[in-house]
Amino acid sequence: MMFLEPKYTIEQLVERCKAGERKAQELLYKQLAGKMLAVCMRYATDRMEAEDMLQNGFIKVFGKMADYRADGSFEGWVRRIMVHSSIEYYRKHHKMMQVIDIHEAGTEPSVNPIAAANLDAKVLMGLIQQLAPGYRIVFNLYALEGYAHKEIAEIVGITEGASKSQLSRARTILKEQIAKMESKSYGYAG
Amino acid sequence: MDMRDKDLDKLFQSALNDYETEPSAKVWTGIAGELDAGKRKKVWLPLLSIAAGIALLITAGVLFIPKEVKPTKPDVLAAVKPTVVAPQTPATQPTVAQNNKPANVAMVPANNLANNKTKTHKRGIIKPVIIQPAQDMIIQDEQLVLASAKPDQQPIKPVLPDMSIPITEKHIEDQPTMTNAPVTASAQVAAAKPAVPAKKHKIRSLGDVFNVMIAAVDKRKDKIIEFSNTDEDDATITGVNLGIIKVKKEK
Repeated sequence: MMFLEPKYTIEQLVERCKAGERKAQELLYKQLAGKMLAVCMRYATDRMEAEDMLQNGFIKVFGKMADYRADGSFEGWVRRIMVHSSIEYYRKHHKMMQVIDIHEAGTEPSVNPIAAANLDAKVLMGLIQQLAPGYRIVFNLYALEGYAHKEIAEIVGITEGASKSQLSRARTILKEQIAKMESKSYGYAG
Repeated sequence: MDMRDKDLDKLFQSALNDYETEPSAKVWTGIAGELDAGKRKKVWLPLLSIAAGIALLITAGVLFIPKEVKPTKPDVLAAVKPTVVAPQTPATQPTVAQNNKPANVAMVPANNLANNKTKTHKRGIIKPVIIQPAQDMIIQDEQLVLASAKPDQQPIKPVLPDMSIPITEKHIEDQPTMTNAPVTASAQVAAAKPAVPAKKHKIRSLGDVFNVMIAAVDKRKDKIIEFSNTDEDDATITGVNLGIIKVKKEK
């Protein structure tokens, strides 16, 4: 199928999308949907939620297309919209962004980085999705999108301190989970 | 060996930043549907706004029509007064034809009587007519109501200040005049009413006077304002009919 359609660059498609051409919108969507769904899935609890976020995000992308200036990468622009769309989704559907911390901060779990490197993307994605929404969002924004705590505080609507403490808690929980998996696999192997 | 925070972050970055997974087909269907809906909205929006504008104009029109009806009230006064004044004029005054204007003055302002009257007689009859209807329209109404609230004491009172001025009109306002022929003339106009004929020879209270005057102008069954007509009662209002709003006290 792919070979039946001529390959357009993203720039070409963007121009046609700005003119409102439906076919171009579809082609652009197909080029980016896979990557963007992966972004949304990190913010979602499951795939269904992620697809809802993706749909909302792309509707915004096409709606705001005229605002896009070619001064940065288009993909980066779309990605930012996806992130904001995902957070907005949480605001709408999960009222409680602030997480009540059930876990007492215990001792740092011990994780073997070499063993952890073998964990594949799906497993790591699963670990992020298991985090409580507040932790998940802050960890994503900081560790994967590269936002500073001040920016995160503005985007999410929490204090900078809360952003820091939620990041810290998120990391601890992720390490705990990785350590558990390592011990299981070692036990299984041994 | 412990994993540092930075290493943890890198672990997730390297695994997930290039991660891709294809969405199901329904996502694009949903997006396309939403975009179509957006287009449809854009087409309908101007039409809707035009429709809304028209609806607004109609509503505004309906709301303002009753206000346009109000100006008829001065007519009510103008038309009404002659009935009261009429009895006087045929007897004595030569200015009968002009009576409309002095009549206005005599009836309306309890407070302005002295001033206005002197003016009207000296300078000209036209002025007061022009001034009063425009400004006092609403006030006149209020005065009517006030007068109707007080009447227990004596309907004649408002006339007293005029005594200083040489006008014969006031004496005529007393009850005897009511029963005179002129009243019947006005009553004939109001004959359309079922209730009026009974009343026309028996005007027993100030309320009756008002009723007759109003009947001359307002031909509806329920008058714009109705007063009680019993002796004991003061001229209390027993009915109001503003078209949309109707209130009537059952007897």
